[in-house]
Amino acid sequence: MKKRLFILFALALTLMPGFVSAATLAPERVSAIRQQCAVIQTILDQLQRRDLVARTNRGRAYEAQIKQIDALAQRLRANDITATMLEAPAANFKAIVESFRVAYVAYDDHMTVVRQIDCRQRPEDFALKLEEMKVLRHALGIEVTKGEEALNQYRQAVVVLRETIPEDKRSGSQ
Amino acid sequence: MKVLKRLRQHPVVRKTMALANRHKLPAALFLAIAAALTLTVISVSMYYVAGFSRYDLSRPGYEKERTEIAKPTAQKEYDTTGPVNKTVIDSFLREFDDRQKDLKDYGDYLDQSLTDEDLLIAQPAE
Repeated sequence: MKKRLFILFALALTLMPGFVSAATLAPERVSAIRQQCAVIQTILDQLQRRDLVARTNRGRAYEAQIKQIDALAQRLRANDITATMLEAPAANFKAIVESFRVAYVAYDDHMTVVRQIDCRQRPEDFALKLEEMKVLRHALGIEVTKGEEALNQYRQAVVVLRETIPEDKRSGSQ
Repeated sequence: MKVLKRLRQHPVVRKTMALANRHKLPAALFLAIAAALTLTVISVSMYYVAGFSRYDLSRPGYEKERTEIAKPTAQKEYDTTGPVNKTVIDSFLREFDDRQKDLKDYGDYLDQSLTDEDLLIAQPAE
């Protein structure tokens, strides 16, 4: 569902009047795409691989952060410490990680579609799909930025919480 | 139950059962192989149809990419039941900052990798 929304978002943007600029389908550009087709396909293949590595690394790092966040929440609960200020930023970060995953799938699916277009035979289609792909890649980048901001907000909330905890606060079970 | 009874009376089923009764070991082996093959076909189909294969860096041809995967640094196991004090929070924040630093090393997709210059569609202005 989210993936469909992302694709619809991209399509809506590309179908907006004036978004597909005349430059996208300018005869010189279309001709350059046809001529450079093999090179462009190689570059896109390398980019897709590079992006997959980044996705894997980033996904793992996000998982590690979520694990830490959950562990701290559990520990606070075990000590009967209410930390409502951490709940919203933690939930926000988790939601953004999910959006990031959806955005990556939408982008990667589109990249696969673009790579399957024969740019020698159909350079115009290729040019249009390339524009859509740029929008999806940008949307993915925005999710990364949002993730960074959410982590900063969470960190700030932890710092605020730290000030409320006395140095010698001990668990009731100890 | 009625269906099963009818099925058992079907000549093909009866013949197959008679054959299996006569050759129990080969029949068991055949069944085991058939079950394994069916499960393999289902799992491989799911792997491709659901798109997992596309995100799998252990595929052949991705040797170089595999080397670029960050080795997971030993993550400090956070005790979920211990006491909470400022030292504990400080230790949490240190670990948190390390993870955040790691994130900065990975691609953020905001680079201009799809410009006409990068794709060699247009030559950069001199």
